[in-house]
Amino acid sequence: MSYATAITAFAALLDNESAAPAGLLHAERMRHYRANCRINRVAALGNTFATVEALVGEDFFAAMARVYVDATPATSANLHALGADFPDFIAGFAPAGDLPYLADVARLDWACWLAFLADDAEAVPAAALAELSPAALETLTVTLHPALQLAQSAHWPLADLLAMHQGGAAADINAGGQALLVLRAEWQQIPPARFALYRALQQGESVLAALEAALAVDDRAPVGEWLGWLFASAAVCGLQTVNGELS
Amino acid sequence: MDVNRFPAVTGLGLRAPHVEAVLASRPDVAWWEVHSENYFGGGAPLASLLAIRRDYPLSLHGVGLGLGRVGELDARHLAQLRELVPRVDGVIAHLADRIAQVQDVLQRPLLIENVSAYVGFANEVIGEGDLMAELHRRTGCGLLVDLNNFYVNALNLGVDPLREIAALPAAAVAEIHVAGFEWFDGTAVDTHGAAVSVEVLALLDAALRQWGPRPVLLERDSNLGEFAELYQEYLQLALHVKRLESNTLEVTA
Repeated sequence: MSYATAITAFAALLDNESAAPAGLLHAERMRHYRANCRINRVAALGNTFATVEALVGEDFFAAMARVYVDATPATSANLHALGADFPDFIAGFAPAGDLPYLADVARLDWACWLAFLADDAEAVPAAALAELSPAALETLTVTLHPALQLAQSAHWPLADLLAMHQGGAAADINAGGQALLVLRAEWQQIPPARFALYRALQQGESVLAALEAALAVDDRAPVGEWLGWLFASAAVCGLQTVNGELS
Repeated sequence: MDVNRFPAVTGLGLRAPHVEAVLASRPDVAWWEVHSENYFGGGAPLASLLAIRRDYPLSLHGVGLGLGRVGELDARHLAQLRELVPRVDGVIAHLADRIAQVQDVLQRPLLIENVSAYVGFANEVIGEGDLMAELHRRTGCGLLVDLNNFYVNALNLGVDPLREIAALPAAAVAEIHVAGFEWFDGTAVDTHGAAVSVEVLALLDAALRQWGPRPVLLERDSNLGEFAELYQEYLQLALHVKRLESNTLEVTA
């Protein structure tokens, strides 16, 4: 058996316990490697999806996470990068069917996690806008800071649930859908029009198109103020026009 | 290339749940070791790390590098296991090549660490200590010796830890790690989740007598508990190492 054959066979055994390669001694102990992988990944998920874990309790969470881990091969060696599709898994996890809000809460946890771990990036000052010609403003797009993340639920009060998890008042699960923004460890509930504005910007739509999207939700929305908040919060780290990147 | 050397005193592994307590209490720890992967990205984790670096020497341990990998499949898995290295035909050439590549990019010597193992291979061609010595000879890499890993392998696979220690060239040994293991179904599992065993402390004495003073790291990754508890174990270990070194050791390298 060559080195490459041995290491590849070993890696395959981590996924599939049925086929032990010839020449492997104490193959029954492979379960310790599997258990180690699983424990590490379940613990990392608990860290990332802290609100979900608080809502369902540690035992339920660990059982659900084990099913997910067993069904989902790791896609990165970095445990922090794992779990992007855990919310979708939760949405289809039958034993959690009585908790229809859980998948949206998991999406909120993932947004908080991305905001917490995002790379640092230099902010663009609002003054940079003053240097743009009116024509350039028409095609302007912005790059939002990766530490700014958004979450929205059509049906469930995400902001109230997060506040409850952080020691606030008990949430009324039937309070209706809510949206919020997360910037690093800070967060705030935002109206749907503001969510529409930031989401459009995040998805690379022009500033004009994003403003229109927000006004389509609420035609009296203070969109200029919300745009200004992004600059004031150091949450814009790039400006681009069709003629080229500005900063 | 000279291998990087920390002061030949005892350091402590720092994990996320203890960072706040450490920043608040500034305990008397000679140096800290953190896992690099926990600080990828920016924001609060990186800021807290920089705050600790202002006051203490800091050693960064990359746990996801994966020198033993041969392809993408195992890349995903093995990095989470801190590597299993089948010491079969071709192992020396493969690892020497990977180590040389990384050292060329980083322009500094790597430290390679012996691993804990629960399984073995029938056609092993070389012992782990001999493999590390040969990799040092070929690439100039330094050696990080995890005594708990040697002891776990002794319990599980019958390896002789004193023989492994004796196989390592003193000049190449840059750092020593100690940690605790736990028993699961008759297998000693390297969980870093318990106090250091007396047998591993005895190996530490033997190793320091052979190599002279070296940086020693106490690692604890699971069953973390309160920082104060781990700090007590650290202080006892640091005192033990200090006494041993001042009373009986001569610098041999």
